[in-house]
Amino acid sequence: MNKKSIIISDEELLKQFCEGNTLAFENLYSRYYAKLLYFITQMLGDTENAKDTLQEVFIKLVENKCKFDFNRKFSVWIYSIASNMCKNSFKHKAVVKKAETEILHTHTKIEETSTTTNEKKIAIRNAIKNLDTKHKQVFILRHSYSFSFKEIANILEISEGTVKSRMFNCIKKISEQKEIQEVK
Amino acid sequence: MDEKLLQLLETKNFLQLTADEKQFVLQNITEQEYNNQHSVLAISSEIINEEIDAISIDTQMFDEVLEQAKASSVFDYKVSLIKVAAVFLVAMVSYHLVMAHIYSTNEQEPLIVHNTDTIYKVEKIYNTDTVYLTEYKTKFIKKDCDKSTAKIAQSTLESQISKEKFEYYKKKITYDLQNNKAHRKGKSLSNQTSIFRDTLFPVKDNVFVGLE
Repeated sequence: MNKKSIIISDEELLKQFCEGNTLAFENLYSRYYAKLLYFITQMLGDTENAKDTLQEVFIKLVENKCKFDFNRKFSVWIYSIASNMCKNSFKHKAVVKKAETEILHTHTKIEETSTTTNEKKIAIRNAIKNLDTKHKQVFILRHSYSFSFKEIANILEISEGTVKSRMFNCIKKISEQKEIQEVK
Repeated sequence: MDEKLLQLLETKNFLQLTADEKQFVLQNITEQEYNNQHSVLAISSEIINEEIDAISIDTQMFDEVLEQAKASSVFDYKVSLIKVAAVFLVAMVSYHLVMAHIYSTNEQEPLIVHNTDTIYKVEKIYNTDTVYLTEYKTKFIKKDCDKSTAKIAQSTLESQISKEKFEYYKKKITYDLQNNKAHRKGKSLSNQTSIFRDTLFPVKDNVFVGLE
């Protein structure tokens, strides 16, 4: 990623893309591809299904690029699209159960390739993996993109209070894991 | 949990907290709990970001997205054409349905006519060699009466009929009297009602009713 792409805001890039600059879209694509794929994979579990969904998210972005309200934050908008796509995916495909097994598989893979293999990390990673979807999405949005509670509430179309409550429950659930308590 | 506590957990360990923040934290959780939760959040964030960084960007998808976006715009155009065709079809079907309804209504009209009375205009022309004209004549009976009675009758008559009619009858009576006409007594010739003997005009139950 070059220096210029860091300076230009997402909204400015979208504006340029709306004016026909495909490079601007390439920049946005590279900025959001990994984060969105991670988020969607965590929601759906199935990596292939997550890739298909992500592709649909980007297609929707391209189709609606000029309809975007530039008073809004691009990141919130794109994550809202992704979140809604996941919801639709939940409705149309009964993937929730499959997702949990897939996540386990994905994490195992990552564990194998990861350089940081200390016990606490493994325990926390498993704890995150075991969170239910509603809690997990709040936790991931907070830690992957540092969204504010208000922004998370907008993305997931829930109240800010619910976001905070879920966040608190996540921390509590992970912290109370026996393995984490034991590893100091 | 308070938002402030969440923010502190995400940013500082217990030792980094100010005295006020420590006091605030200890009102909610113990130092050990705080450190544990802070550590969990810090490691979680690290894990998530590591996993995101491990994902390589799929450039093939980028090209596919652009292609599909172009294709979908063409599809949208096709869809709009289909919409126009559908609207046209609906309009045509509606038109035919309406017309069919109108025709079916027209076919049922004789049933309504069947129950309706029809009035025919009939004109007849009579050709005759002679035309008879009926002449209606009103005859008045002369009766001798004194002047005062005649005056009462006249004044009563004046109040009942128009002045022109009264003058007409007056003249006619005078003419008839002079020419010895209208001699029938007791009944008027027009409707055979009883007449008041001292006047020339018909009465009913001894009440003057006029000429007409």
